[in-house]
Amino acid sequence: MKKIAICGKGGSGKSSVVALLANGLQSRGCQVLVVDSDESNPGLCRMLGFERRPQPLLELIGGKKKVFEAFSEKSQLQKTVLLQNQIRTKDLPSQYLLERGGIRMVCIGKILQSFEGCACPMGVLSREFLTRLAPEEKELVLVDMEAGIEHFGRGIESSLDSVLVVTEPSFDSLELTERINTLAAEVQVKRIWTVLNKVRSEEMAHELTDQLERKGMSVVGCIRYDPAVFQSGLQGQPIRGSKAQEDVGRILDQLL
Amino acid sequence: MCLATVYVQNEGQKEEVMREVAWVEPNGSGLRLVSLMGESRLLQARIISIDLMNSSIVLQRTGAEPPQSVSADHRG
Repeated sequence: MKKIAICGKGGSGKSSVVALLANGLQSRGCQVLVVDSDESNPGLCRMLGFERRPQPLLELIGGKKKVFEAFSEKSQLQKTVLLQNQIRTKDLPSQYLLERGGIRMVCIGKILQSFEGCACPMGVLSREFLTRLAPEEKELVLVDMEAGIEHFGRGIESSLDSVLVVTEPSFDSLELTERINTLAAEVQVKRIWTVLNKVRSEEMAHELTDQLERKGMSVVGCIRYDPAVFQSGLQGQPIRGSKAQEDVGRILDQLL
Repeated sequence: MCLATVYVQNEGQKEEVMREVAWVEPNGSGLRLVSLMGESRLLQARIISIDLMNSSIVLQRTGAEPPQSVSADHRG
């Protein structure tokens, strides 16, 4: 398990789970690369304790508007690291990579303007970058996916070995979890897990686990509702929440 | 997906020539294709169809492929 996509319905807590996993992995001595592959939401960097986003990798190929010029005969961008067959995190120029302790972060690209067009180039770049990314021995890659399932249409999961579906207590979320399991199996992802998030009672955890397991899905753990996670999210602060972090620790015991 | 796969039509068969094509421009009597990841290719060909719903461009060759003097693919 080297490259893990964190997927789920919008609002299910994907970015929070990514941040909690990154913190948990760091405390176990792992090197973590967090890939922000969500074209919309801006807050992952803050949850991870960074003050700003790194420059998007899309700029390494000239940005959305200038791909063609970027690869003209005269362009220096022809030698960009993204075109290497194997990309190591340390190869990335510093402005595209943030680092805090054992956690590093890159961002694929964000939609910034009305009418700027679709996010297809970001999807392709995510897939190509993740395919070529060669993690170091003790490095794990966590990919914060955009909400929903469009990324499956772009084949991004074909570049990853594991999918972790974040499921909140709602019918829609359970339904989408089932759909994601099917789509991930179709692209032959090796490991597909579900993690329950924002769960308010043990009874609820049992009920949701039963529902999912009856349909053949693997529930790897449950993160309890933790007001501190919501409070830090509301304030735009690095993620806090000892209860949630403790639960993620148990999930990591299962995954590693 | 908006980026296109380009095919060359040959005796009723479609041969894929490039994926994730971001740009197509006339180049002399042919076409230059550039993919999002920087692959570049010159073809002596003309456009038969552009299907934006299925992200597919079909070409027909009009001559032999010219020397590929412009290539930005630095993989490896």
